[in-house]
Amino acid sequence: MLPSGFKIGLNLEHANPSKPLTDEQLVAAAQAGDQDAFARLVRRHEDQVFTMALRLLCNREDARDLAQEVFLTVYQSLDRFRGDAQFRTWLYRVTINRGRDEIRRRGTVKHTRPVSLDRMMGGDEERAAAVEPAARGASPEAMARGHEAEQMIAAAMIRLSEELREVIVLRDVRDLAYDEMAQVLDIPVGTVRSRLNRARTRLAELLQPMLEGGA
Amino acid sequence: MSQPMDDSVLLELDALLDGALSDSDAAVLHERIDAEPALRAEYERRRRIVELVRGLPAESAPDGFSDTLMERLPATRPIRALPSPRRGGVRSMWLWGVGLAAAAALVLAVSLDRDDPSPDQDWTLAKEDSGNAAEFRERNEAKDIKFLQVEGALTETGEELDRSLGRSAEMRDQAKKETIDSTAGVVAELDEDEEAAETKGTRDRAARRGAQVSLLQVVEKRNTALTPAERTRYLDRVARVSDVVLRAHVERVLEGPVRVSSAESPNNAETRSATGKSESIKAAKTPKASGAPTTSAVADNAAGSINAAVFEVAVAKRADAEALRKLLMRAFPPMQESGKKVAEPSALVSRSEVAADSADAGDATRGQLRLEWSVSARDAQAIAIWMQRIGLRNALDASGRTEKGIRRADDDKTRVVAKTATMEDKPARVADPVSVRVRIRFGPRTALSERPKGDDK
Repeated sequence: MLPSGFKIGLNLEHANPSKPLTDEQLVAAAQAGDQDAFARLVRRHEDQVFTMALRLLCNREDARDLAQEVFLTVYQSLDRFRGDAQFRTWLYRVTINRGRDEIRRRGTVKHTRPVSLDRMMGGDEERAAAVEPAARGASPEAMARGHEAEQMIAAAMIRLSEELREVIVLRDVRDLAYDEMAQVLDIPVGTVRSRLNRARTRLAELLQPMLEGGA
Repeated sequence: MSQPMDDSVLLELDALLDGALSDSDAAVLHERIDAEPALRAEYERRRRIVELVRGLPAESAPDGFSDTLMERLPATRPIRALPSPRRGGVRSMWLWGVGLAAAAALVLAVSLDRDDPSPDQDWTLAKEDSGNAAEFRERNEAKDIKFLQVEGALTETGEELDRSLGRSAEMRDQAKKETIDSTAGVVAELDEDEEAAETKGTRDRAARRGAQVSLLQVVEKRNTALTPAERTRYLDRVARVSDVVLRAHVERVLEGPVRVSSAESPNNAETRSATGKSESIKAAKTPKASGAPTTSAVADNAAGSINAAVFEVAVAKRADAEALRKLLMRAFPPMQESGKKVAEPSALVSRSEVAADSADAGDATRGQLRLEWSVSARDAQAIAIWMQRIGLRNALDASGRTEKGIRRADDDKTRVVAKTATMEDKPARVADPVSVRVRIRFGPRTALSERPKGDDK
């Protein structure tokens, strides 16, 4: 096994074709100038990064631009990747940081198709109109699979503060463990847990109508 | 709405939902949930929230995402590692040897023993140096191409000379003259590069070094063809390199000392730091004149095949030194340690042995750890780059600090004083082992010029 940080001299031509290359092997090759290796890394992670960007920014076009910027940043910074963390962790960290930059640059998050949470949280009629036609009468779980329900959840996530949204995205969208979240966000695990607690409490408040509707 | 609950309970519920509790803790909490309606309600509420968010579909990147991205890449190509040794044996190894020496020179230029070494500055310089070394490598590849063009002309001329051994001295002189003419343009171009780089100041230090190294390459190749006047001219140029390592190299190549026009001594050469300030460098190795081996050269090697690369790192704390040593041992593990054979890592070929792994400094607050390998030239190159690019930082991280932590540690007077490397000679053949020595000194305000007791190297 290659030691952490040792990236020199990897030759993809000698790699076992039946065994997929690890991210770290591809990074090593990309660091040596192999663009095909980098393209493979991009294809391997583009969906995850795009999804993450979408959940952070709640807008497909912005998410696409952000994901592009993330990979460009990674490419330009490849030489600084030290291999003492997983590539995925580093990639998500870049995504979080670039997402913050983008949100601060714009000063806000815009939704592709804004859904009024006030409308959702209004009376039964309004709420029904908000979720029609996909999810009326469905359980919350079923609603989550519907497009309108997705938008409601996304609208609730927009209302979270940046730091609370990040922990939700990392934990519940990207399924990272607490310690990896701590690495990505560069904060202690205890802070991760307390933010996650606050984020879920806030989301529960925002989505209370959905929860009650599905009960 | 649920009753407000204690945060610690909510944290436990989250941990349960996230599978972060041990089986026993989870069982205990489940019992509580079953027994306490309020807790159960809160658990259900949070569980649904988690399910809603996790139920959001995974999205696919837009069509053509990666194609669009890859089209945007060429202008931002990352730094490449040094190329593999080229066909041509001595020439190839010599090329990388000079590259290594030049990279070492870059490191030297980070400056040692500053008048007012600020910890932040140390760290900044270390990072800057890493970037400069990378920049050098990239730039020097372009220089290599120019050099190879020159070398091509030399080879052709040489072959012609070989075929014409019976020719007259005049004809051979004519061939040499043609060689000189063919390199003149390149040398002029290098002059321009160097002057341009100098005008831009120390930020272009790497470019300047690249030009200097290319110049040295030309000097070496032209050695046999130089007239006395030309030789003096180029030696003067080499003297401006102001680097003991490169100077030592040239001395060996030219089999004579470089005449330095200034009064500086080899022990106290002047160079420029990254801050642009002229500072005193106390060299780790003192080159000796007339091709005599330096103190760290392998004594029993035949003349002309003395191969050694020496690295020094100075850190304030023993923990950092230990971390770096541990990291090096992991990165380049020995074939034999304490008499027990360990597996040879497949990724690194041609490693022959770890000659020594010294260094029990006990509980001392000042001391040094030494490692020595006898490795293939290729592995020596890898170690050199590794040391310069990522090794040091990894070591500091491995000692339990994040980058932020390092800054805090810097406030506590933990600092990287300097690192340096020397390449004392070129390998005579590809197969020749290279002795790579790493000396990690630790102690308060450790300086490379200080030589701990018992250090016979």
